[in-house]
Amino acid sequence: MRRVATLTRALLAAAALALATLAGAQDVTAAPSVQIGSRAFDISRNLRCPVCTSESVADSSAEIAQQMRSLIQEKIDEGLSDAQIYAFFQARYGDWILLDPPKRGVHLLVWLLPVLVGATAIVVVVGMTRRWLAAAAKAEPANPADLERVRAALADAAANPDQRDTGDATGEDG
Amino acid sequence: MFDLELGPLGSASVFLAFGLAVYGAVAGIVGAARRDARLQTSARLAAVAGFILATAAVVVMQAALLTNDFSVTYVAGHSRIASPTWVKVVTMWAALEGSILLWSWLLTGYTALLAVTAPLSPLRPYAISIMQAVQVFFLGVLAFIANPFKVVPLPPLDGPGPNELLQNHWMMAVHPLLMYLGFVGLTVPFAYAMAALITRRPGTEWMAQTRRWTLTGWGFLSGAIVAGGWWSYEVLGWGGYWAWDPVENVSFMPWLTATAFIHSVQVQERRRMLKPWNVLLIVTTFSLSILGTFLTRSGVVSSVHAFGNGPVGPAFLVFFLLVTLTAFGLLALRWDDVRDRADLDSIVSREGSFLGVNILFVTLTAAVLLGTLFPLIVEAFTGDKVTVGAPFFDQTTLPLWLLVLALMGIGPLLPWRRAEQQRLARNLALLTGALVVSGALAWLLGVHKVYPALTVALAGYNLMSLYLLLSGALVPRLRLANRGALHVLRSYAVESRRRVGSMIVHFAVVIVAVGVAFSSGYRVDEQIRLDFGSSAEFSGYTLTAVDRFMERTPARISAGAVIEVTRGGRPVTTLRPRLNLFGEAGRTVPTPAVYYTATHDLYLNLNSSVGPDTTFVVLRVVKSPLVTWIWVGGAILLFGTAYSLGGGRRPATARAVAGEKPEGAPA
Repeated sequence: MRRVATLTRALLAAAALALATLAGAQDVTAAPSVQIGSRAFDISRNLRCPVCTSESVADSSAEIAQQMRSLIQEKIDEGLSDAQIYAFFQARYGDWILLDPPKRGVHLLVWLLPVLVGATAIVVVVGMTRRWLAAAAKAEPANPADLERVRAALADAAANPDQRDTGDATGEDG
Repeated sequence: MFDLELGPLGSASVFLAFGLAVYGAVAGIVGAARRDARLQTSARLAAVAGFILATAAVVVMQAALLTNDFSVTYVAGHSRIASPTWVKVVTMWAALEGSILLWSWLLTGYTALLAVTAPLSPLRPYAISIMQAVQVFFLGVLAFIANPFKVVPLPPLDGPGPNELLQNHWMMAVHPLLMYLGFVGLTVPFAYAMAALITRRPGTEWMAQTRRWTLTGWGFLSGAIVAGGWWSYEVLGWGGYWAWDPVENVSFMPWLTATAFIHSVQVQERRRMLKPWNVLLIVTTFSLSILGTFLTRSGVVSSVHAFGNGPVGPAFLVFFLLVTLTAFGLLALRWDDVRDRADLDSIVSREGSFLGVNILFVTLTAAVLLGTLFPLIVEAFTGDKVTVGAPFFDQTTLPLWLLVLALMGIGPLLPWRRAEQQRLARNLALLTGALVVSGALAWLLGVHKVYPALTVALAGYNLMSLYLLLSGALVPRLRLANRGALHVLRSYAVESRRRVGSMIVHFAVVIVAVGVAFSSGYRVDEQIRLDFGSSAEFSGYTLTAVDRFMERTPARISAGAVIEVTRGGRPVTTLRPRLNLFGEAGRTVPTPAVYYTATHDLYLNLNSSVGPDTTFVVLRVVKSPLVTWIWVGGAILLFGTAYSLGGGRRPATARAVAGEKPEGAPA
């Protein structure tokens, strides 16, 4: 646990430094833009808070997240598009800053794997289903005497619906 | 009072409980293999005694927490004299060692309950032994790796107290308990599934005997997830309830597989199919709960560098591998017994829809698991840092959730074996009609975002499905019974608890889905600066900062703002978002203020500190539509689960119908 804490502190320091360099000329700590609109929050929802384990910039209450939200608002005020703002952060932090992994390179794998699992599941189930359907089609025809007994039992059950729940077409005892 | 050393007393209880678990696990298996009834009874008694000893350990821990006995490591590390009593009580599960104590205690409790109440069957001795084998692991971790009762040689005068976020809300007393009750509850069907494999009885016996345990565990886990969401909403200050955080994901995955399981077992009960698959699902559910504990408790998900460094991490990893390999090995060994000799008449049938449920929930689990593990895997192999966050999980799972809703509507309407063409066509027409009408209505009313609009459409479709189910069941009864509709409805609800319970749960899912779709699709976030005395407009509301306040309790200091909320000139409510400081070394945590309404919530969180000289506050304001319905839906879901579990014996009315006398009736 302590090692994690040390690591977190180190990360925090590194990120603070990164933000300071990224801020460059504009001093983010001095006068952060305080009025932040909903578009800035929508953008910040897709960016990772650099010092948190897995929170977005929108969700985190860390200081750096608050500063990044202000920065996003300033970029919006400067007239930048959403894509430009994402690119701005991507250029400084790398793809790592995007909570939504870009659909290329190694990231492609994480998008494709669930699809692959789903496709495999479908293929397996379809394969089994076909075998089972074939098994049912091959089933031998019922013996007429048995069939008569079943009909009698069904008629009996239908006559006394209170005795036992026989299940209607919607499948009573599912 | 005589001088009592709590630390050694607690350790002794844990060690003895551990010894009993080892004994019970071995004696039960040997007794079952040798058909030695005395050994089996002795193992069951060990289960009861183990529970008593684990209870003693919990009592000792509570005594140490409540009397501020800082000679006990756990108390010294996580408790504080100034905390209110309820915080001291729940501090037991505010950190790792205490959580494992709670988990072990609940596990021994369930085992003892099983030992006392489980019906005699060839499965029982093995199932109880497997529960005890799981206890061996948890109590072993508690005794040897993460012992909370270790004695501190030089006890401090006071401790730091639990994590600030954990002492900030009473949900701390509810959510973790529900979570562990869920995990432990789902251990019971796992134990029975293993017992079924060992005894070569992979039929429906193990499911029938664990149905209540499974549903109870599932209900607790569902409740835990909803309660956890509401807790996040109330304390984290960002107006949301689910962030696809690794810790959330790992509690969600066992729920996903358990949900697949409670549906899939019905195919086996009814059609004797999917035997190996159902075993696999419950094994996965159990091992995912262990894997989740490993991932979140070892620090692995936050950083690869901490891999294996956590004290319990390696133990959980080894146990996870052991459980998975043993279960799979056992399944392979018994393959000839469990293999399906199944047939299927048509895919358009109830069993066909349950196959669909399996596909969807397996894919959902895979997406969540891969998304959670992907950063670890990439970093382990390439050293690159990658991020997989909420937008990924939203994009991959949302289409699947919509398919789940679609299947949920049609599945229960399909009969077993084969759907009759005419009725199917009629049902499909009505369902499609409801889908189109509600979707169009939503569109006309201004819901122009794809997912919320589709969710509304599918909600209408599901309501139609529920109507068809209910009318399909009630109309023939009405015709036969010759009684009032209300009477028929009541007797149906009493007779077919399982069926009605599932309808209630499905209805709840629809409500939760609509709540989630709107609160995530249409929430509005803003941050505003408000000078004291001035006002700002937000989504039709006028917010006025009228005053600041300070509160001081022994445990915390809080400072906040008094915000008057008006709408169209009329006062609506007064909200008091605040920041809290617990102890001098702690960090500040916010307490947001929420104005709950049926159509939307107004959520205020303080984003700036408030002192005697501050002239303004910075507020995060969130308007989240229909979010309350998630909690309402969660409550309905729990009610539905409890309803389907209720009435274990046939209720009096059913007996009366069958011509029997109710108990206690005059002769």
